[in-house]
Amino acid sequence: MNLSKLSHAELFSHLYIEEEVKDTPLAKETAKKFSKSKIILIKHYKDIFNRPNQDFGVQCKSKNLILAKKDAPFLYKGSFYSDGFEFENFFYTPLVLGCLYDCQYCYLSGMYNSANSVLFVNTQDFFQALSPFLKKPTLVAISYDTDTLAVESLASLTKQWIIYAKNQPNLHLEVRTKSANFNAIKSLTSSDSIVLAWTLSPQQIIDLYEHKTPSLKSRLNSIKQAIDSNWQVRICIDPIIYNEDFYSLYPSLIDEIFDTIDADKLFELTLGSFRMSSTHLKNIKKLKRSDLAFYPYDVNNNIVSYGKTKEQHILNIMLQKTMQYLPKSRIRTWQLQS
Amino acid sequence: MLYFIIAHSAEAQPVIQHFKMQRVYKFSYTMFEADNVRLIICNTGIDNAMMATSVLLAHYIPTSNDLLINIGICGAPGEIGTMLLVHKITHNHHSCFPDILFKHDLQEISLKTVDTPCVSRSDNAVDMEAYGIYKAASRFFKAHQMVFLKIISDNFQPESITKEATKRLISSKIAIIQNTINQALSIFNKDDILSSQEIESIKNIAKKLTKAQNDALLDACRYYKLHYKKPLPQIDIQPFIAKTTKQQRSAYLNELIQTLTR
Repeated sequence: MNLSKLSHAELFSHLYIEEEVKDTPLAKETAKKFSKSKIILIKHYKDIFNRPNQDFGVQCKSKNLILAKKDAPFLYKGSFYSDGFEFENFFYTPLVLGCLYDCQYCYLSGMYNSANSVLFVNTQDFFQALSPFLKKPTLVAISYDTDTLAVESLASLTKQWIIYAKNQPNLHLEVRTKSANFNAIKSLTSSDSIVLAWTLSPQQIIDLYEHKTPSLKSRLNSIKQAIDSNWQVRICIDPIIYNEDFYSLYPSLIDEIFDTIDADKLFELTLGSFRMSSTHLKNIKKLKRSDLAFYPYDVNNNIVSYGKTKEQHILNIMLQKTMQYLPKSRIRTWQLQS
Repeated sequence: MLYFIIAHSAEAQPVIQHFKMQRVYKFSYTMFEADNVRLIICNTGIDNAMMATSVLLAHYIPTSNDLLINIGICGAPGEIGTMLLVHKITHNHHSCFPDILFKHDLQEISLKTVDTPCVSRSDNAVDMEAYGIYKAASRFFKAHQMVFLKIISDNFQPESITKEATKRLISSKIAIIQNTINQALSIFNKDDILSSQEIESIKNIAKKLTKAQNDALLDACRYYKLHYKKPLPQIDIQPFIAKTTKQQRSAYLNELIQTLTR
């Protein structure tokens, strides 16, 4: 089931709204959009989202939405597990907690008790918290513990951030997504300080592990539209999942990408093989739903991965293949960062 | 297993009949059982509900395949006999939230659990046990494993309720109750990837392994089943017995894990 095929009314059976935000325009508008959802008033989003006795796996079958007001902190230091692109100030900001998609390898399923999503309505407070840092070049990942563009029709968060960033010369944004929702921001003009980053996987991997996400073809179409509208686009083949079909699936993915996308117009491409904190993996194992959780990974400094040798092998193969289309200077690999 | 927690005998009787339960004398509570069903009468009030639920569930520790159901009458605005499914239970400014993740056609409500019978009109449905049941049961069940069903018995005139009327109300809804239970169970995930026979066969090998080695073997077996979507091949214990040193066993185990996960 692809989310884009669902109407708003079918998406969330229950809408939990903090009493404090129930009269905000966004809450009222959201309640109107989800007219068939049961609305339940709550005191604090943590009363729902952080309940100890939830089942992430079962909740994935019927995800619900929580509308809330975020209290400080609004910014978090970028994680070791992701690329900070050499920015001295690298933050991520939790505009939404949780993701509508259900990717079996995602650390969110090992990090949160709940498969529901929390949408924070106080976007202006995030901007205010960021402003003291903007004396220096600052990268903010706005799609970190979520996929912001996937929920764009709910709150236009990506749009608001892009408009804000255009007036802040030191602010650089990365909007990472698996959605095929470029249309939602198509009306905005591109900016050199904003990178739209699409995570891509071979269609077979999408079918196996990236539940409820758009197909590779529709993501590629969205990327093409973004490039044609002069946006800087980063393609992220990350995480690369190693299995018996790796050698046929992933090199073909590179061919498929550059059959659709003009390599000269692509900002860059990043490669990274699967890795995760061992604590998150331990929690994901408890869900007992994906083979990826049970692979005999190497564990080093609380990070599980395919191990240095296999990781290097995976990245070398992918690097060589990508270099048929892109110069090495426009290819990044996560391993080089570590 | 289904666990029914019900306040009064009159409310329980139609359920007991439907599931063909027999009286059992286990605790100092009135209790009934049948195949895969247990029912306890908890009596009126939060404290009683909490104690009876704790006694029952601490004795028969539930699994992730089990379901707890609280059925009872309640005072509420609305038509007498309407069946309600509870998504929020409040008591003295504290709230808890059963997860309703299954499809249904019932009216959902917020329920207020009160300490004394409610004689004044309220916007909320009211009962006297649900909060206590949820609090005690949430130690044993996940939020989607608890279903609270209420039938409107009165519009805040508790003196109008009779035992006979209560039995009639619950009896008239027994098909809907059964259907709701089926729906609630339909979304449960499988308990384990490995079958009990597969776990049993691995247990024999486990005697020759350390805890960490056994966990690694179980993970590899789960990987195999999920990845290849076929039953686990027979794992022979003989090589583990034949290998006399720890190093030999460890090397053989690594080979086995490689084979299962390649």
